[in-house]
Amino acid sequence: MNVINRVQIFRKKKKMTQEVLANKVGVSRKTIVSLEKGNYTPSLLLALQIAEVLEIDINAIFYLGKE
Amino acid sequence: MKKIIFEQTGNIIMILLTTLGMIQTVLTATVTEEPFSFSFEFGIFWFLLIGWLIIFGIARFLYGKKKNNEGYSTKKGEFSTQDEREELISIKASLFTFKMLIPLWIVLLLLCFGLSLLFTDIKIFQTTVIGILGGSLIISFLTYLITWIALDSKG
Repeated sequence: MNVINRVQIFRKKKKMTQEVLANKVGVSRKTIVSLEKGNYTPSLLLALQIAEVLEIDINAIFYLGKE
Repeated sequence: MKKIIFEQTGNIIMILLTTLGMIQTVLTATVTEEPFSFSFEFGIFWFLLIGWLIIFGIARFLYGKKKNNEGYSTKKGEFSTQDEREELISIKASLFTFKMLIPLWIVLLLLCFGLSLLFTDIKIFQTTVIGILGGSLIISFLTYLITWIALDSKG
């Protein structure tokens, strides 16, 4: 099982750059890049912060996938 | 990534100069038993080390104060992190370095044992052991650095 995220989709809907999102949640842009590529699974705290910034329910952004 | 390269480069130079200083001192040291006297040369490498410690110390202080320093902290050094992803990278790099060092030190221990039986000249043995220990420290700094860069680039 792995965590799938739709951060990139919701970020683009919000017309937000990776840099802006990174600054708002207090991480580096590289972390957002890594997260969107699916190479990094964020902590619950970071996931909640991203959901809050993007104003989307956390379950719509992050969900379990079978791989 | 820059902060780790900065810190590890400084550490490697520091250990290199320390090792060379020790080797030079050992090679120039003379001990006589009757009457007891001891002398050694405070060689160029110790002066270079002092100079490097001052330069590196100032550079670390300034880098720590700099804005946009990727979360570099003089207290944490090579374990400085900007966010949770870098924390994970730091942990993984430390673990890999530890796993690499244990077998290396076992090999080096056996090597020192073997050399102690072979070498008849005590000075050659002393400098070899210092070189081996200094070298293993440099290898550990390099391993951490390369692992950190590799993990960071993977993202």
